[in-house]
Amino acid sequence: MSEIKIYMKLFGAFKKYGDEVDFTLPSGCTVLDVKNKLAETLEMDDAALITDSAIANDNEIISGDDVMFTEDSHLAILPPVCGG
Amino acid sequence: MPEKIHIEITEQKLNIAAAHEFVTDPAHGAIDSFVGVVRDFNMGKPVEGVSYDVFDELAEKILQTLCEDTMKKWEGKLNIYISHFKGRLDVGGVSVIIAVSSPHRAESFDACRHLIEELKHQVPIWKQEHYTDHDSEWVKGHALCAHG
Repeated sequence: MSEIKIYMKLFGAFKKYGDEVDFTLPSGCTVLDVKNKLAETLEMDDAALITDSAIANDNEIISGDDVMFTEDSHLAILPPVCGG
Repeated sequence: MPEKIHIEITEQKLNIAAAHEFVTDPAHGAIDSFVGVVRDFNMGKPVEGVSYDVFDELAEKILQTLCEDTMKKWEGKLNIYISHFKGRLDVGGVSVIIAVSSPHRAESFDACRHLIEELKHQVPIWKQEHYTDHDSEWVKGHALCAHG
């Protein structure tokens, strides 16, 4: 199975790990796969933060169990928001 | 005059006069504005400042959709100005300005309240409070995913 590269921008509470990280995953990976790999890459111990965070690209929030990433992707991890 | 929308994420000082100037319209008899300001105490701790982190590209798109949906909800008779700060502010600093004009006051009040509530729930903006004891903490917010 081919691999794809994920380039992940980090925001909010994830900023303590830097501005961006990248990692590889098998083509066809899901949103949950991406979140789990991010947690592993960052060696995170805050499971609730990962669970409550959304994955997005520059145009929209990406959700749904049927979404699959099949090519290199520029994404962002969005923890719970609190503007204003 | 057609209804107008202004959206910006900026690292410059926010300007309430610019907001009022943008929404002013001879057909509109009401302007309602909300100004968010950094306060000096939260969750039992004295605050000396707040840093705002923003996913600019997506925040601007979601704000645009929010404004367009708000226009439809109030049948288009609004001008809307939203400006949100990005970066660090001391206590008293202005973090967000929302101004809405409409022919009559009820629409302005209601639409302005709607916009700030939805901004807090939908737009990818985060704040990190800085306390007087030099500790800092990201404020817990509203999840954008179905799990939260």
